[in-house]
Amino acid sequence: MLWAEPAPRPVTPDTRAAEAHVRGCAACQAFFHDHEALAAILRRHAPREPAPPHVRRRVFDALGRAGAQTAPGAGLAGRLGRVAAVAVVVIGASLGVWLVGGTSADEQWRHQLSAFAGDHLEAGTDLAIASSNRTEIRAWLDERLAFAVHVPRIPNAELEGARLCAFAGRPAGVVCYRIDGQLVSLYLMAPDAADPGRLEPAQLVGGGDAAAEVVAWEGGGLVHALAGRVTPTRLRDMARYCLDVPAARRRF
Amino acid sequence: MDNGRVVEDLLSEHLDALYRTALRLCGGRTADAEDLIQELALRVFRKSHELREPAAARSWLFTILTRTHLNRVRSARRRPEVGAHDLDEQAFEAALASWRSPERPDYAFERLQTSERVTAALDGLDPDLRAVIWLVDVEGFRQREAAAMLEVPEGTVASRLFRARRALREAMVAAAHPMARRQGA
Repeated sequence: MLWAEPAPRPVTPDTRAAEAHVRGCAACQAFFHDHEALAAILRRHAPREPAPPHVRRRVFDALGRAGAQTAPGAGLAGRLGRVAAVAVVVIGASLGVWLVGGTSADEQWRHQLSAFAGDHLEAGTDLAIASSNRTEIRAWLDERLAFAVHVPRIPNAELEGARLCAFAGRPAGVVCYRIDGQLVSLYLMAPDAADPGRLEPAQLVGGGDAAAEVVAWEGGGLVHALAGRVTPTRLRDMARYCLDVPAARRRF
Repeated sequence: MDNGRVVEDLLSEHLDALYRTALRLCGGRTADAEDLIQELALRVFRKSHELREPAAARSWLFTILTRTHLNRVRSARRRPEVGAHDLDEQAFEAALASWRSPERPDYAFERLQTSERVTAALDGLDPDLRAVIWLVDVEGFRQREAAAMLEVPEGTVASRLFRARRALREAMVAAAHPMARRQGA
């Protein structure tokens, strides 16, 4: 009885009697101690292999394909579309897209920026790891993403933690900062050949209004984006510290 | 939050635990574990509307994982849900009564407390026993939860857990005293 229902277990007359017996029985005590010791060894030393990055990527790719195969308006493809639509509604008709060093942003970038904004607004302070330690955050993300992540130190911004998300099945890491009392999300995602038009080094694309501003760029082999309810100037200032490429900092 | 987002978030949060459990269910065979995880992801995606209680999400995911694994095993070889080696209640009680602790169990285990050796001992267990001891002792599910996941009676889980621990202990003691084992052989 005690074996089949380890503590905490419902208290019944039978369990009380059994527990009383065990208290006075050296053999039973040895039995339970022996098993508890073995269980403790297992808990302490059992292998805890994290899912390798290629497994994580494979899972999210499969989810992305599954979503794309479902009816229009359902699944991940529909979700991305709805997120984009919601973000566009939230951000409003005044969504302006600008490109530093360029003249226009294509529709794919517009949708991607909207997706970043929608995710930022939707996720809020829902962090998977809460920490102000850059090393800890980087290690947490490195265990879960297929690409190396740089967690920048941004002046006047407090590191709050990180989480994961995905856009059309592509996993992304999100590092969250607090600046001027506002949460700002830094998105890091591997680029996809079929996704937004590639940017030149140190080009910055962005958009938004009072609901959420977004800036995005490519560098270090990744798509980066900052989203938050702060001014575009503030986001561009933050972006200077997010990529350890002096030329990019100069041009931003 | 829609189902797609729920699935992505759930899998992101629990993928490490699901993967290592898949690895143990598959006896350490990484290719099988990876296939199992991918099949799990698709099943979770299709069944996401069935998740009513977010607090039960972990148990729900592990249930889908273990049942997906069982389906794969069953399709490979038809087998009864209760293995022939499972003890009936009377035999189980007799086995419990006959348990003899080693004189110094901690001593026997202390040289074995490495993940590699525990992994080897675990992967050497019968698959049915390994699934139970992993779900209960490592992942921390209650015996009744493991019974539901594996679709066997609770008594069978209790019996398998007992047998798994006994087999694991014997394997670890044997590994801790290889000289004695060779001399005794």
